[in-house]
Amino acid sequence: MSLPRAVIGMLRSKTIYSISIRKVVSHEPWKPGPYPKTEEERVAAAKKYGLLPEEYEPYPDDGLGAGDYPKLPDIGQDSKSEYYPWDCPEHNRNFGEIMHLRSDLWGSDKGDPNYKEKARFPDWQRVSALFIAIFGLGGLMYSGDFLCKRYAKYMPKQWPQDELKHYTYSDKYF
Amino acid sequence: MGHAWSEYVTPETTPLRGTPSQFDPHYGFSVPRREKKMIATLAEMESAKVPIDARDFCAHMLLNLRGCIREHFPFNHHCHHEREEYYECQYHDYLDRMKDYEREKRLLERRHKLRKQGAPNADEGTLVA
Repeated sequence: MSLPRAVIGMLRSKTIYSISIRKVVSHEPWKPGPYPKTEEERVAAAKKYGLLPEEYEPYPDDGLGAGDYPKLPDIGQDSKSEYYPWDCPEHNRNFGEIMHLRSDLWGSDKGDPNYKEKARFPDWQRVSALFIAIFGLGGLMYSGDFLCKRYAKYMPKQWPQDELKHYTYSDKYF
Repeated sequence: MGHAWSEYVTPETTPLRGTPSQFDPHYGFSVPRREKKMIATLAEMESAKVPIDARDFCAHMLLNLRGCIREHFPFNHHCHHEREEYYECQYHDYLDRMKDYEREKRLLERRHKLRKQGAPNADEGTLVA
């Protein structure tokens, strides 16, 4: 079995890959630009992200690839109002709103950087409740194995042994 | 009174779990009890690949059942009789253990009572103190 000659030719040449990179899955449209160094680049970047130049602040240029992406306040989805009429209520987000760089981590199903503000109990209580439940129940099961076993109203099972003889009450079996 | 409680309260008159009998197996019987015989041989069980935990005093009936199944497969219901026989044997094996337990308990209570009375024949029939 072999592929048609035209397909093999397309695979051998780089045409199909270069077309897909250019037309289908391209990162270029949503990749951040280079870190802004001059004032003009800062203003241009702020305009690109729909922010005012005075509230635009990029991530430090530490080589992690954030480029000119703006540094936004750390607000998770759970910290946003649930009564505001959001355009996308499932993500508590308006259409076209600039997203946080870490917004993939801070959805309602994941984490919240400000979870302590809304937490019902402090962290030490939560952790100790977990440990008390796990090790308390485990300790009860472990110690109960020694302290209160089942009521065994029969002698140990009798196995055929050379040195030990067993005797039966049965007339028919064994 | 459950066993787990009696173990702590009256350990001297309770057959402690997992321990063998403290008394002579024929003590108190007018006719000596019949010895349990292992009918299946080790070579038979090994050649039939009987699992270790099934090599008890009923293994010959398990061999019988397995042979019947081998003969009648896939119509295993033809071996209904062999299967019931094997289960009955296991039941009697268990019954022996339960009767031995009851005997042990009563003998322990009797020995305890006689020892408290200071009777000279209190330790009669005892293998282990």
